[in-house]
Amino acid sequence: MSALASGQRSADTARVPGSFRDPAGFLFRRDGVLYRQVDRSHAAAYDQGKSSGLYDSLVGSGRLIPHDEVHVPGADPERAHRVLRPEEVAFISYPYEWCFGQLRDAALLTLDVQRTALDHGMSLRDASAYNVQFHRGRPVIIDTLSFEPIRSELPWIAYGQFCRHFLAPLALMAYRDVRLGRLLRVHIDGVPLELASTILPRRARWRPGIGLHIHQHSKAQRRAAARPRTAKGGRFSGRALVGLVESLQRAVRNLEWRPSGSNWIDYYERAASYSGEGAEHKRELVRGMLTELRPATVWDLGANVGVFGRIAAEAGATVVCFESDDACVEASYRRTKEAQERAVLPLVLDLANPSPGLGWGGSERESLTERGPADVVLALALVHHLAVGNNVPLEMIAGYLSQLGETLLVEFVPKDDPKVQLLLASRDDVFPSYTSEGFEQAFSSWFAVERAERIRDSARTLYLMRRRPGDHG
Amino acid sequence: MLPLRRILLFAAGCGSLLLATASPAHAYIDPGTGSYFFQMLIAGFLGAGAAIAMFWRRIVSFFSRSRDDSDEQPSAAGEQTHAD
Repeated sequence: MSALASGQRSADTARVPGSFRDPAGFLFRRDGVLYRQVDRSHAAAYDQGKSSGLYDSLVGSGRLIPHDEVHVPGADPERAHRVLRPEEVAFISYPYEWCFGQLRDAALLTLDVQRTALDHGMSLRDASAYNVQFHRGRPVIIDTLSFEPIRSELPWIAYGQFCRHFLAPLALMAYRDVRLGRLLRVHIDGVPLELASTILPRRARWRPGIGLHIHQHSKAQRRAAARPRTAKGGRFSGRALVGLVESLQRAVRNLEWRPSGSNWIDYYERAASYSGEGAEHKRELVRGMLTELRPATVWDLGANVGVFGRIAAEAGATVVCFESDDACVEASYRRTKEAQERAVLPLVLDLANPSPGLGWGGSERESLTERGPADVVLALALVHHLAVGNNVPLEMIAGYLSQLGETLLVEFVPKDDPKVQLLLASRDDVFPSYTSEGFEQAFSSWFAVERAERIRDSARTLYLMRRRPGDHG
Repeated sequence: MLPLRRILLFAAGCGSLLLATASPAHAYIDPGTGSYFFQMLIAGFLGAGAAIAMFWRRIVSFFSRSRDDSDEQPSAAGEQTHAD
């Protein structure tokens, strides 16, 4: 194939940092375009994926990212069998940024894909949560090379990984606390089963799927570690492979989490931060500004249930809504499914402690800043939480926001606002420069203020600011 | 404290430390090995479960076909069944 035509390595070719563990191939960029090299070692498996009809079935049903085969040299041409150009996902997100529902849907997708693979004589080589991305509102498998022919009589090689990446964190979120999803940030290859066993309440082990696939599974792992043996006896039939998938499907389906008791979920109704007129005016202002700006990408910081992020989506942008409250993100995600929204991605993120670079060398998984900047950043009803609630100086807030986006829509909530008064109720007022002059001065170091609009019936002001050119990370 | 009691307490302390660290000597064996053997252990159980599930689906779809207004899809991908 002429994919191997040129042995030259272009200076603009760079391997994607996180793509190195897989012997079957890897991702690379050349001149800004994303490619996946299929190594010769994986040639038979890749060809079988095509000839068996598996790829057609999965891509056709929206479960696997589509790709084209292209005739360009690989990044490592001696090893290349094919070069693929996969469709690109608008925003890469990671399992530790997903709400319960997103992780659960990613788990069910993985099992569903494995089931289809089995029907085509193939099986997933790995069941990592990092193989799933949210693309146009739906979870998809992005690792085209994750399939191999079924190994006759052998069990599922990805079973342990599935339990660590999906079943254990989901069980912890459902049975203990939804915030345990963040454990995936600490345990980069999934939550160890023994750890999950320890944390789960006693009643969890009586649930058949959990008792078997977490507790018993964990005990077996510890026994194997204590008394290692190499003899591989017995056989694992095709029917057992199917039975395993179906058993895991039941286990995941039985895990549910309903958001309740969150302070933030019905915030807009309860909080009465704005009168009806004020709320409407704010929406109008934001809609007007975004319609003029026509951004391609928008980040809504402190998005709550994503009201303003969705206004940005209506204005034609691809939007990511970041929010630290799991219940809000869950509600927002459910809405994307019900309304079949393709341009909104809600994620769990604490802006005061955003996702850092993780994994090997700290660069396998990108930090939040590395995945930006966005065209427009919305920081509505947010800054007072960072400045007063979190003691971050206004200048530093402005500096950080300037790294995240080119244009900023930011709302200043003055000190006499009831919400700021609430924050000050349990703190000393050590914020002498938290005034609108102080705010404008702090932000002017980083941004040029283009517009300032007082929200009707309120003391709050909405600003439109453009990042000043200069040294920006 | 009398020297004897101190000695005994120290010995008891050391003993419990030993017990605490008497866990897997070969802990560097990756968890994959355990998962492999665990699956072999439950293979029969899983296979039986799949067989029963398939049988049950046939029964259900047989009865659904005799009713006109069934919207049941006999899909292989994960339905709720009674076997677990």
